[in-house]
Amino acid sequence: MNNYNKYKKIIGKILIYLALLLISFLFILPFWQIVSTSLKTFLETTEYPQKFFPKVPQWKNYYYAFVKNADIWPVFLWLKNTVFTTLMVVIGNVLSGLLIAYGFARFNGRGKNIWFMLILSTMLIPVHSTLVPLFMVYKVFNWYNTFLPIIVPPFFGFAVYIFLLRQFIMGIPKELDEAATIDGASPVGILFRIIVPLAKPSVIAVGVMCFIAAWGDFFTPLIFLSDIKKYTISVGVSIMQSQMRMNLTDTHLIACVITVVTLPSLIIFFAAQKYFVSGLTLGAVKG
Amino acid sequence: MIKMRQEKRNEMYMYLFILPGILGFLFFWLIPIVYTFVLSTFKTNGMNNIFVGIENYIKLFGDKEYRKAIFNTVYMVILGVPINMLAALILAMLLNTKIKALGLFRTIFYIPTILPGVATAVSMFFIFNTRYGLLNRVLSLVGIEGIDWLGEPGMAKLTFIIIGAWGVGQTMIIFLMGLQGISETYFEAAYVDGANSFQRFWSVTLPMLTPTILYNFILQCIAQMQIFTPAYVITNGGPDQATYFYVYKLYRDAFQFGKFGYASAQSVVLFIVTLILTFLVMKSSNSWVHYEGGE
Repeated sequence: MNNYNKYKKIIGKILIYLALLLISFLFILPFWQIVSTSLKTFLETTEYPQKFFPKVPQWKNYYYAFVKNADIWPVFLWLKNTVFTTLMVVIGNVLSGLLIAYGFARFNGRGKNIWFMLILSTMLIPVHSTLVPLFMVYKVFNWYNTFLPIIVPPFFGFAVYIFLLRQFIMGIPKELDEAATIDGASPVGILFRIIVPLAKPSVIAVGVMCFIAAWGDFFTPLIFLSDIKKYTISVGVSIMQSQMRMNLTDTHLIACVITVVTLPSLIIFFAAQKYFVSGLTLGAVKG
Repeated sequence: MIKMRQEKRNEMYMYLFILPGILGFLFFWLIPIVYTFVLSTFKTNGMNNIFVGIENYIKLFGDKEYRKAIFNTVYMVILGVPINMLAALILAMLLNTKIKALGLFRTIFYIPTILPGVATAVSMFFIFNTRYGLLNRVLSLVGIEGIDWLGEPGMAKLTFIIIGAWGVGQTMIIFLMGLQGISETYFEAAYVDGANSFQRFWSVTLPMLTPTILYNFILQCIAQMQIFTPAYVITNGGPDQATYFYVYKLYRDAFQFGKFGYASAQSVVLFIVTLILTFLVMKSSNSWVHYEGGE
């Protein structure tokens, strides 16, 4: 290779790195502002121009945000509610997803394809066009201002997860099921003793995707929860935010809460990164 | 005889396992949607129902707020979708090079998509603040001063597009997988034929990527049509209703003002438009999407 081409290649690489670094900087900036604001004094948050770093990190902000202000903003309670609803949503979706996907992947019968297409078609339906009647019905059932509207539907399956799990199960050789049937295992036994252990990475992938979605869910809890003690963290934070917008106080405290809220998503993401990508791959390529 | 019994058993098991899915489909999708259509012909606050026929739909035509919401949403779809797709594709192509620390960059670009929407929205409220936002602080270092990102109606919509682009990671990853799925031999063949890098992109990468573009395009359109959280959290639909989007209007009419019939009419329109749009995109895909090994 001649020198000209060599230089051209090196310069090209440097440009790519520069572009990536610049874009990364812009991607990181919002995190930066949140974390640094959460460690500033209130006075510092009103400074102009705004500094990139706090003078002295104010760790006690976190104490104020989570403990001291609990009467006004029961942040811990919101976190507890969110942990509960998220866990239930994950359990519901994984369990129902496994059962339904197993039914579609391993058994045959009249109407199978129709039901499969119908369930898949819900992926394209805007969820908002179903919520008005559901809201009215839940009110009649006294489900309003309870967690039930959030945690019950997942136990009846969600198209994306059903589709992904079905793909995974279809990838497991059917001979294994047949051998187990001869040994006298029931279909449910086969699902949980043979398929789930083999499909463990995929089940984790679906669980993680579901966790991320449920932890950040906003619209459903916003509509169905009215009591401040019942709020999930997203709804709670949106209330804090609307108060902040009016009088611009406590910017640093809301930043503390935001920092903490993003942590579970980040932890789960990094802990399960390889499963996460595998789930995405299947969804996209085969979808 | 035995075979028939086995088939019956098989069918029974199938329905047993998919039963939750069938019930879910009926109770959380089909019946609510049918009920939405019915509700849209009533004037109702949940207590008193008066049948009004198509009056709700006629009212929608004259509703200034509704027209504004449609305009804003269409604006986001027409401008936001291509910008996001382009941003995602550029990022994916930058990452599809042989460089070090690729995983790190990929993670940085992907992370915003996994964060709770409200947390992201509040971060955006901070970063785009004219006075206290670090973005203007950074821009002031290169001589650009005091952009009013969220306060000025024309600017606010563009800011929302940038906010959307911050969550472009998912689209980017899917593009990246599409790019990595293109066989090297096509590029080698093009190279031998003397194609320059732009020609290779135009006549190899792009056609091979069309299935991925289709998939991303549909997802992006649906996402932009349903944009809600940033409008609710950052701007409350303002300034001057510049970020008053379709689902935000629907939310306010239904759940803040209790106009269930009127909101149902809006739901019906959203439902039908989404289906038509998806259908048209799928239909058109025959003419521009290229499947490897297919005709």
